Parts: sequence; structure tokens; C-alpha cells
Amino acid sequence: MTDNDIKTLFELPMGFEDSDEFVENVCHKMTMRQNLRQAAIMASGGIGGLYALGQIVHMPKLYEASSTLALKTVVYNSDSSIRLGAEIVETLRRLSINWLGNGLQTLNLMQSPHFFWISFAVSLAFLGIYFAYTQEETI
Amino acid sequence: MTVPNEQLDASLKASSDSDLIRLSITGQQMAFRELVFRHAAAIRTQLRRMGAQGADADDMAQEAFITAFENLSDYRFEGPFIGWLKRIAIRKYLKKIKATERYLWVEDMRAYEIPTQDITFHKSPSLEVALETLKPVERLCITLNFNADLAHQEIADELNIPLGTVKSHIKRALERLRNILNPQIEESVK
Repeated sequence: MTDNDIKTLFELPMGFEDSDEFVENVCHKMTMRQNLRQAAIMASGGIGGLYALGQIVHMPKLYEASSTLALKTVVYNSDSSIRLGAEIVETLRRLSINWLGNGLQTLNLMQSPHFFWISFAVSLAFLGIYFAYTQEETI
Repeated sequence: MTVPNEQLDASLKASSDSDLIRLSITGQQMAFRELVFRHAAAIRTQLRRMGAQGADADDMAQEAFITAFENLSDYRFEGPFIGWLKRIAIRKYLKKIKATERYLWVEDMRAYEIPTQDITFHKSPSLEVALETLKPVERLCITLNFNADLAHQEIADELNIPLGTVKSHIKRALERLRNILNPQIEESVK
């Protein structure tokens, strides 16, 4: 009876009846995480794209025109269905811009250098924390 | 031209861990699936022997595999893949018990006994029973040393306790295991 005998016992793995189920669970979780990550990337891309679009479209003159809820130049000679569609699109556009930017003041603030550096620093901090967290668990 | 599933399975089963890792890095989930299949029992066993309970142990083992998959590019092929996997599982387990501040320093072990009804013991039925009689910290030290092949100093670093304490825990655990396992070891050695 030596330490090596005990070590030999330690080297023998237990038998598990649910090995296949375990493997399936790991693969399922991996797929779920990949899908979630891709969805998050797509969502952030979509939000970023909408925000960028909002900044481009959100010109003062156009904004004023949209506040009257009438794209007169677009729908002037169109039939009622096109006009209705254009109004819906315009309303949606306006809602999304209001939601994203909450007015020109917020947009101006978000375009300022201070906002850029603060958000850049916060992003870097999050990235750093995430990197440190993942490195802690791997060798 | 697509490769039939059976042919792919056979080819993956015949591949070495290193080849499977390289394939997994390129995004082939089937290759990593084969790695999971190969090493799942060892990781699940180690976590249970360290003191994790059934469902918890399996959750941590699954997390360890997923972490490994996500960080495969960090694996340097310097040692066996199972050793790297074990380290990840150890870190996960230690992180959990440190976060909950339970388990390690308690004397009463009744709450931490391993449920055995869902496990089929094949070749070492007595080791698990013997481990249950150890104090949690002794059990952890001996498992890290004998099962995960960590040196005494590495265990001290991981657990943040003095080297001398680690050595005395392992010594006491070994004495107790010898006492309990004596007849079984003689049988299994024969």
C-alpha cells in the first residue's frame, strides 16, 4: 500500500450513465451562447445603424418638416395609399429618432469630444474587465 | 462534395487531441464535441472528488468545457489537453467556493456528502466513500495533488494558504485514505 496505489485509484474516472446527455448539453449551451452573441452583435449593429441614420437624416430643416407630419414634396402628386405609407414611415422615423436622440440637444451632447472620451473610457474599462475575467479562468 | 456523418465520426474518433483542437479552432464544433466526449468523465470525476455535488459538478464541468472552447486559441500545446481542462475546472470550482465563502473551513461535513444515487461506480468504488470521510480542505488538497497533478506550492497558491498547511493536509488525508482503502487497494492491485 503506497502513495502510488492511491494515485492509481485517483486516475480511474467514475462511470457515468448520462455521458451522451452531458455532451449534448455542452453542445447545446455552446450553440445557445454563440447565437446570443450573434444576436447581441446584430442588435448593437442595428441600434448603431439607426443612430447613425438618425444623425444623418436628422437635419434641422427636415426635422421641422417632419414635425408637421406631412412630407408634402414626396406625396404631393401621389394617391392616398402612398401618402398613408409615407406618413407611417415618417412617423416611425420620427419616433425612432426621438427615442434614440431625444432631440437635437442630446445629439449635440453625444457628438461632443467629452462624450466621446467618456464613452471610449467606459468601453475600454468594460473590455478590460471582460478580458481580465476570461484570463482568470484560463492558463 | 460532403463527407458522410459516419465517415466524419470515425475520422474524428481516430484523431489526436491536438488535431481535434486545431479543427475546433477553425470552428468545427463536431471536433470539439469529440473532445468533450473523451474528457467529460475525467472532469466530472475531478469536480466530484474535489467536493462539488452532482448537479453543481456537472454545471461547472459544462462551463469549463465552454470556457475552454472559447479560449482554445490560448492553449499552447505544451502539455496534455486534459491538464489544461482540469485547471479551468479547478479555477471555476475554487472561484465558486471562494465567492460563497462556504465549504472549505467547516468541520461538519454532513451537508457536503456526495449524492451517489446518480453515479455508477465502476472501478474505484471505495475511493469516493473514503474521500467523503475527509475534511473538505483535506479532500480538496489531496484531489488537487493526486487527481489534477498540482504541486504543493501550486495548491498553496490556488487556495491562498501556507505551503506547510497544504503538506500537512495532504499527509493527514493520505493516512486516512490508507486506513480506509487498505483492503480494497490490495484487491485492486492484484
